[in-house]
Order: sequence, then structure tokens, then C-alpha cells
Amino acid sequence: MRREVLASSTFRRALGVCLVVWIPLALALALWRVHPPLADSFDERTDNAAERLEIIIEELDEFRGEHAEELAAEAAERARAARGGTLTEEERSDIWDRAYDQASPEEWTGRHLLWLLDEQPWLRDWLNEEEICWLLFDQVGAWLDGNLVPELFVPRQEDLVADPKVSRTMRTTVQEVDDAWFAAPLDFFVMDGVWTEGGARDVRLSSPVSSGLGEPLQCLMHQLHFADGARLRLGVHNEPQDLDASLLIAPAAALLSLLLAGAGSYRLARRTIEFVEDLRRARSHLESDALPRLRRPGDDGDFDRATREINAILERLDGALSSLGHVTDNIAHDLRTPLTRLQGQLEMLRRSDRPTDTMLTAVQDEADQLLATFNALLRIAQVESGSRRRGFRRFDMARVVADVAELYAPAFADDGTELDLSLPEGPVELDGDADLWMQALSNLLDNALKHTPSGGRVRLELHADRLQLRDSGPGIPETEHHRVFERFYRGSARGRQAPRGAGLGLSLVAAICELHGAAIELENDDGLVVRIRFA
Amino acid sequence: MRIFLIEDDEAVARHVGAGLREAGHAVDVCGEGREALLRAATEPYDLLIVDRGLPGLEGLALVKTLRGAGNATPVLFLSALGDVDRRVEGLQAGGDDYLPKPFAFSELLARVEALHRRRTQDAPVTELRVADLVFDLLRREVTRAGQRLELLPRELALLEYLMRHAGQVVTRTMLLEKVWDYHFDPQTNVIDVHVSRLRRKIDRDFDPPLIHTVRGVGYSLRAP
Repeated sequence: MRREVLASSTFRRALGVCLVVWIPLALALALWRVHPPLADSFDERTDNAAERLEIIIEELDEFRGEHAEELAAEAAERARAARGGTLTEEERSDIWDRAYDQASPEEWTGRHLLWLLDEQPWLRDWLNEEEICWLLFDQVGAWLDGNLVPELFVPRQEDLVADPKVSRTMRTTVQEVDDAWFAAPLDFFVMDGVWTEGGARDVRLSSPVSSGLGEPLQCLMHQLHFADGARLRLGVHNEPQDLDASLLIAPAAALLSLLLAGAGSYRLARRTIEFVEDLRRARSHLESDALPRLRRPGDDGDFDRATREINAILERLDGALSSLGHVTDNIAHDLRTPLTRLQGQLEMLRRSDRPTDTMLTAVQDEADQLLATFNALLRIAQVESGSRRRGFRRFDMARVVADVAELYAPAFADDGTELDLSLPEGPVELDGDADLWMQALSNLLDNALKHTPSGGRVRLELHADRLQLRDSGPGIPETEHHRVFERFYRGSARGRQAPRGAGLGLSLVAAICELHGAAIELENDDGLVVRIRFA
Repeated sequence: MRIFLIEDDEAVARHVGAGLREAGHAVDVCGEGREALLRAATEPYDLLIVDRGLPGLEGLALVKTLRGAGNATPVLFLSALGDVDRRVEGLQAGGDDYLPKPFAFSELLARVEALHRRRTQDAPVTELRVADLVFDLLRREVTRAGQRLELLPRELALLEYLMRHAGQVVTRTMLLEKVWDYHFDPQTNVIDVHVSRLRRKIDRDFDPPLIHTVRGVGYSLRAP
């Protein structure tokens, strides 16, 4: 604790020193572009790539003038030497013009760019900068230059272009992206790619069509066509920043401040390193049984807050892991019985010479039953994961309630149980998933039907803020109220027989309520009353 | 029918492929997204069965790309991620039906047949007829052997769906989706009760019976 307090005060002192030394240094470092991919957004880098392409075009323009002049002069010199004497001004001008035209076509070719890259090494260095990938290939797709591995990309590209249908789609995609990004005489390509550490040469492009169709964009490329059919592609990557990269930077920053700010910063640096080390340790423990917690500095500073957040996440993970273990135990236990039965039935089939229809049906039924149980489990897991919240929209609960009552009316009538329905005058509009509510209400009606003796009565009421289902069955002992929502829980006192998908129906109802922020409660009142209060 | 099964799980592909072949279909199988895209775009298939998670090119992107290229081959998505917005995503991408894994093969087969039928029967009809059972779609009236039958609105919808898929097997889930318009899984036999009520009205006083139960799968309405 003494150390903590000391660290806390030195932290403030260190901060003061750092403000003076560290900020200008950081600016200088930024100018030096120590790590540009982390500093620039993807948009900025894409604009950057487009600009580079423009600059290359300008360079080519300039080159055309200079290079043609050079070649023309050489040609004139050669002609003069061949003639062994002087040329008339007219002859010289004629030769010069012809050579100039030859060396300076209306449009550039891939060879021009190759020459330019050799002549102007800065241009190549500039292209090879970390976040840029580029590829120059000739009219048949052969690699001329670049920092991409072209084999993986060019043949496939040609394949796709060879197929008229696919290439049309590609163009559509290209057009869409083009509109949004960068109009010009340049084609625009979007590609999937893998960007690895250690320089652009490791970049592989995997799929030229898949991006722009919903997946994260991996690599955006501009394309420049040359007169001879050669193409230059230039692009940037949107490799997301990962934790490891930030972790690398933090100790680096700490080290720098240690050197520059002197002893005052030492503890800050140490704190940073300890913090990162703690994080690393916590992460490496994720696979083991008990999750550690990070040590909190307790000074309500940045590190303290970060630690608190991370500890909260670890807490949540711990809870999830232990409930996972609990659920897995239950599942294993409850599926073992039907699986064993199935195994026995299959063995019997194997032994019998002529399997009867009854035997086959029994096996089929057992398998269907297992499949239903798995589906129910998957559904609960899915609802619990919260992913279906994305599908929420406004719907009329009154319609869902009316529909479920209509769906169950014949089943209730056949059973001799009365189903009363009470709906409010107008719609009951809620945000949520109507299919899930239908599922929940159907499970509840199933339950009520099963547990209400023939001649009984079930009443389903919908109000603006809640829904209530009352049956005239035996109810559930109060001590079990909290347990009926657990997976595979079967009531001790209730039930005429074990229903299909037994023990999962109410878990799903609970998960659906939880997903919608609705509260569900049970009450015994001459039968069971299930009450759901909407959020 | 010529079916292209795009599925990278070998066990599933083998099982589904064998089942479809047994049902009389020609089946090609491919487990790699990009290759599958090329083949689906160039060869004339009657139906594509597409797994969502594929190496190379994701199933959703594959179908979007095909649709973008004007290819209208019916698509049935298979997916281990059977939740609602995935489903909506799949249908928006141009899929015609969506079946979450795990599924029973009979369910898949029923949906395959239904997709095929839907494609071959695009012309609008005003009357459905199976044996002596006649459904006047304009008046919403049903007669059997010339005798008018009194059906409730839901029973009419149920019968219409069964008659439109006469001779095919329709599953309980399909009925729930198409007749009730809900995607969920009732734990009990609510659908059976509805069908048996309909059956009482259609078949009890007439011969031969038209609505048949297909054990473990669903129902089929057909003339004997």
C-alpha cells in the first residue's frame, strides 16, 4: 500500500515532467512517421493511396517529356554518326521528331513505369512504404514489379474476367464502391487480403470479389491502365489495430519517458509495464480454471479506472464460465439417457435379421426426440447470447396473443379445456421479436394445457403493460418457483406425463423475457399464474 | 432435378448428397466458395443448396454475387447460425428458403421439392383441383364431389397450401411458416390438431382419403 501511495504522487510529478518533454517528442515522432498505420485512419490512407497514384501519373508525364527528348537527341546523334558528317537543320529536326514520337507515345506503357522506378529510386521506396501495397503486371498478367505476391491473385482474376457473368458483377461492385470513393479515369478494385507484419512483400490477396458485399474490407486498390495493357494496382489495407500492437507501444512509450524524464518517470514507466504485464498474465490465464483479477492502484487515476473495467469483464467471464460448466453437466446428464436408449435400439436392429417397422419407427422417434432437444438447447443459447436483439422491431403484441390463441384453440377444444382470451381495445405496441414472443406464449400455453386437468380452464389476458396466464392446474410449489426456469428442470408434483423436449420450455420463456427486458413471475392462486411485465 | 450442393462439411455433404440422389436428383458437390461460385454461374442447375459458412467465399456473398449477375436459380440456405436476423439476411441476399442446422433430412427434402415446384408453377391459377376436391381461389370456396364444404379462414389457408403442394410432403414447420407466418418451434402437436380438423371436413364423408400423414415428417395431400 505504501508503494501504491508513493507511486500515486510520483505519477503526478512524472506527468508534469512528461507534459514538457513528452508532448513535443511525440509530435516529432509523429512527423517521423514511426508508426503511420496506427496514426492514420483507413479513409486517410486510402486518400493517400489515390494521391500517390496521381503523383505517379504526374511523374510519368514529366518523364515522357524528359525521356523522349533524351532519346530523340540520341537518335539524332546516331544518324549524324552514321552519315559521317553534319545534318541539315531540316534533317535533324525530322529525325528528332520521329524519335520523340516513338519514345513518347500518346499514352504510357508499363515499361515506362519500370524505367521510371529504376531512374527514380525514391519513387519505389515511397511505394514500398508500410501501408501501401502495389502490383504492376503486363497485358497477359505477368508480374513486372511490385510488393505483392501476384501468383495468388492474377490467374484467379483472369478466371473471373473470362466468365462474363462474374465479371459483370465485379463491375457492379466496382461501380458502387467507385461512386462512393473516387471517381476518375482509374478503375477501382476492392479486394480481400491478408496483411502480415514484416512488410508488404508478405501481403497476399485472396479474393477479388468477396469484399464490398458485407464482409470487412481488407484491401482497397486503385487501378491504372497502361496503353500496352499493363496495369498498376495500388492499395491500402485496413488491418484493424489489435491489442498486441497497442501493448507494444505502451512499453515503448514507457521506456522513452524513462529515458527522457529521468527518475520521476521511472515509476510511471514501471506502472505501465506492470499494468501491461498484469494484463498479459490475465490473458494467459483465460484458459485455466480460476481467472485472476488485476491489482488496483486505488488512486482513481487512469490505470485504476482501466483496471476496474478489466476486472469487471473478468468477473462477468468468470460467471459465464461457471454457469457454462453447470449447464454442460446438466446437458450431459440429460442427453445420456436417450442416447443410451438409441444405442440399444440400434444394437437390436443390427442383431435382428428382419427389422420390423416398429423397431425402425422407435429408432426414428428417439433420434427425432434428440434432435428436438438439441434444437431447443441451441435456441435457448442463441436467445441468451442477445444476438437476436439486432432483429428487434415494433410489433403488435395483441396480434401475437390473438394468433397464439387461435393456433391453440383446437388443441384446447380437443382436450376439453376452456381457453379464455382477453385483449385490450387497441394494439399493444412493443419493440422486440414477434416470433420469439410467439414461441414463449406457445410454450406457456403448452404447459398450461398439459398441467390443467380436463374440464379445466385457462385464461390468457393481455394488458398494456403486462400479460397474464392463469390455469386451473395444481400449480408449482413455491420452493420450486425459481428452479422451473433452469434447463432440464422437471417439476416434482406437476404433470401427467413428461412432455416432448421436456424441461426446456420454461428456460426458453425465461431467456426470451430476459432478452426483452421483461420480468416474469409465478404465483399460486387456485392454479398457476404466470405474469410477464413488459419493459 | 439437377442440384448443386455447396457444403464444406464432408459428412453433411455425403449424407445430404446420398439422400438427394436416392430421391432421384442429380447432385454435384463443392466445398470451396470461390470454385462453387464459378460453377454455379456457368452451369445450369435447378437448385443450389448453400451452406453459410464456406472457406474461400462466404455463402451469403456467393449468392449475392450470383444474384447480382442475374442468376435466378432457387437457393436454399443451410446454416448453423439459425437465428432470425441471419434468416432475414439470407433471404435478403436472394435466398428462397433457409434451413438451420441441425435439420432432419426429410425436412430438407420437403423444402427442396417445394422450391422446385414453386419454380415450375409460376402461372397464376384461379382454381386448385385434386381428385374431386376443388378450391375456387377467387371465391375462397371449397367443394368435394360437388358438395360445398364449410371451412374456417385458417383451414382455407391450410388447405390452399396443401393443395398447391399436392403430391409433395410438407412438414409441420413449413405449415407454421407459410400458413401462420411465424418462425418458431411448438413443442406439441398443435399443427396436427389443425390438420386433423381439416381432414375431418375433407375426408370423413368422402372416399378416397386425400390428406395423408407421413410419419415423422408431416403431411401430403394427393389423389390416390
